[in-house]
Amino acid sequence: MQRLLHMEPGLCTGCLQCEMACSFEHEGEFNPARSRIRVFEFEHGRTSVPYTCSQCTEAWCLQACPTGAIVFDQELGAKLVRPAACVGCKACTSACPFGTIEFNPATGKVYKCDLCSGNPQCVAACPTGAITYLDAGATGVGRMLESAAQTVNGVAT
Amino acid sequence: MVAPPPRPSNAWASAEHGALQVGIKVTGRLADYFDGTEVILPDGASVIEALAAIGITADQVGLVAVNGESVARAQYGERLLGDGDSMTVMAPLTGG
Amino acid sequence: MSWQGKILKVDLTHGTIVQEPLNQDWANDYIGERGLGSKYLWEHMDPTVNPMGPDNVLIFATGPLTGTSASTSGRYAVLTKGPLTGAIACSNSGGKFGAELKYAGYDLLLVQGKSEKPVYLLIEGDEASLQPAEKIWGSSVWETEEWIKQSRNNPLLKIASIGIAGERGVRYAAIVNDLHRAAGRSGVGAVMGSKNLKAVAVRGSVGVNVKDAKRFMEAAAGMKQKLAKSFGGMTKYGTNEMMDTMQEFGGLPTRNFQEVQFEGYDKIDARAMLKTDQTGHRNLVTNKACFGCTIACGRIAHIRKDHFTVINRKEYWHASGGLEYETAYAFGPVVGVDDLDACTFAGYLMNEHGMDPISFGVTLAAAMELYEMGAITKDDTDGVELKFGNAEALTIMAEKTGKQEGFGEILGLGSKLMCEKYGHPELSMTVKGQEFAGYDSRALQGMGLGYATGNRGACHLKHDTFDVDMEDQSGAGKAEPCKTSQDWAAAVDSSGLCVFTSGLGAEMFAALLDADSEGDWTAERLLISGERIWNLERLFNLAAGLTSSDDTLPERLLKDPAPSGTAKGRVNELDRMLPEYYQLRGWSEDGRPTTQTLERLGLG
Repeated sequence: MQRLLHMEPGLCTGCLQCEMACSFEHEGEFNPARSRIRVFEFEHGRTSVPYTCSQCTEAWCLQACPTGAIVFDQELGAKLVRPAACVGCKACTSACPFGTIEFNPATGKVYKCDLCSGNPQCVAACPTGAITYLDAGATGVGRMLESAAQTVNGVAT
Repeated sequence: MVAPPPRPSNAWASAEHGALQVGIKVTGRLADYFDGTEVILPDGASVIEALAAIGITADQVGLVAVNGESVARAQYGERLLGDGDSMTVMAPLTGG
Repeated sequence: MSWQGKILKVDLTHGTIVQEPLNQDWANDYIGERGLGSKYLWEHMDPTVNPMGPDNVLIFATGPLTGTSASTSGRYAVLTKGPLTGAIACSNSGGKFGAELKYAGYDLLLVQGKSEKPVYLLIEGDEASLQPAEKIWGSSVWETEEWIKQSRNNPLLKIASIGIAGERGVRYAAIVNDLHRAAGRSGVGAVMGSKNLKAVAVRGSVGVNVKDAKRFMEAAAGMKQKLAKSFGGMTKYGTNEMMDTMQEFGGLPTRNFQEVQFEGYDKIDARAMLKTDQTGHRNLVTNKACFGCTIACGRIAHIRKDHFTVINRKEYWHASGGLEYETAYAFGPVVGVDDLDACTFAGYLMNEHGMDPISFGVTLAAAMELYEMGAITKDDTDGVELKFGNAEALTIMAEKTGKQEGFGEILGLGSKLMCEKYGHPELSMTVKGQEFAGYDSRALQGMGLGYATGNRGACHLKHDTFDVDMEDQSGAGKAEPCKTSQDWAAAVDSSGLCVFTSGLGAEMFAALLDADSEGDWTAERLLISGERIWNLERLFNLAAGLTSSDDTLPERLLKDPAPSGTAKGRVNELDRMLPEYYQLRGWSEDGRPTTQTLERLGLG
């Protein structure tokens, strides 16, 4: 089953535990600048929005890569960077419409979310359940359920 | 810890013979446990029994005052309540 | 490991910036943040200098746990000589700036001298530079953050800055970071302004490493579990959860400490913030976390658009930092105001212009008492009726002080100088010139001792006697918990974590720190380090000219009995507690650490 990261900004407190967990998993140190997931704050903190790669099916980054350094992991549904093949040309960072593949000047390679081989550390670290790892085909179900419940209560018009 | 749904006042039980009606005010986070204004207790009830009636344990409490006077923690079991007393149950202070 | 091993020294007079290795011996003895910053301050300046002069030193310090995944790991401390107190100033803040300074690769930033022209310090990656700030001199904190991010085209910069209050030397000006978190107390913002330093903007990508990752992750996970179990109330209600408790207890300073209970408390307490009114408006929008914090006690609030404060000022219709207990107290009971929106707006103004809400509110309270007794009139107050309970007066004066206009210039002096100016020093509710937080010393005796002996003046965060103060409203047995908790708070404040976690205990901190940092860290070592830090701060103050006569409380708290509440009829028993406290500290009768004490702590 393909699963993906589902974000509920309404639950996010902006604590950045996800950024620390991500960088720790991938870089072995706490370093939010190298996190694959980032939290953005709007209107003085009214909303905090966690954001990362959504693992597009027709991935622009993968299509753009001239060296085949980005590969599709069928089982995870993730697009993975093979650092050995990455030449740091940044064609992918230009191609990605969401900015979720980034270049690390220290290594000369790009990096992106790899779903931690199916055990995303951002999910484990989130204290409020704002980031969950769901069946890729069911991410809308929670909101549908909420809307349906409102219909029952006569709230929705 | 998530508080259980707040207990309502049990004053509907009406003061039977030999029962006490005690006004209760709960502060801070402890108000999540009890949102009424009074409880009915058996005659001879102490502070500790009043606390039990509203679902709060002594170790959750910062201070109890009866009729505006503080009650030492060691006296919770001995301090008896009278009909018409008012008891304040204060949450611990955390600093800010 | 855990310390980055580097500090950054900025000389504003000469415009030079140099990196230096961290003095690891000092880190071993003083941990980090508050303690390490105090040590650097002690070694780099003469405590007798004018706090507003170029010879004062301004330090931003992180701790060994700052920037790690331990909960509440976003703290940093600002150390300098405080203009409000003439004593050592140690002001702690959360938000995200502190962790970012660590990620820039620095344990500590030390600023000396004075720039000829307004500048801001920019640290992007491994490059640090002084940038012209003429264009933002005279701007608010909010404008400054926006301008720097835009002009650098870097939305990820984390910024600590001052507003007009800091530029113009308001004695309780704050350094505000991330729009609404602040190193708020003792006037650290005024020192920054005196140096013509408008802001520090940081973005770094140097990772923070820990000594033993497996052990550290286990300890951090255990800590988070404990917090999740015991801090639910703080998450839901914020610190303003305490308002109704303080009311019932009778320790809620009201109308400049003339009373200890406030009839309007339930219009501004945590529950009022959560209430939805008939128009569908609720003051509290959401709760928010500082960096790394799994408690998230921060409040994000908004003001009713038809409220008099903002009805014609759309620029304040957005959400921003909401009331905490101390701000609710400082804009509420102590000035007699019960208007939630006005209090929230006053809070916005403090953050926007960079001021300490506690000192502002308590100074305004003294001005209101002066006004009501006729010592000042409308001629002094720009025509404003400065009576207790006047919400409009609160917000007008908050803005005037923030912008340093009219009577705001007088309020900017702080309560002590203002009351002296009008011939009524007894109305100043301060210790060492710094205003009280929201706990009355007649109901909370140990708090009173903590205020009186506070190294930065009246402060509620450098000790924790809440439990014993609630249990027993006399001065008996308060010296020991006051002393011990002062030492413990000094250790926690030096770790990089929030003092709210201090209740988790020394063993837990030792486990975290030992997995994080080089050297064997035990509970005993943390406590002795805390005691060393407390005594070093004391040495700074003694060298600055303070004496035991400064370890006192205003007469109102020592002579006028509490008029109501559980402590009705009591005064603070400082006379009884203070000698006991000095003895426990190993200080002489005149409050000086003995040679033996200094040697025991390695300060000889």
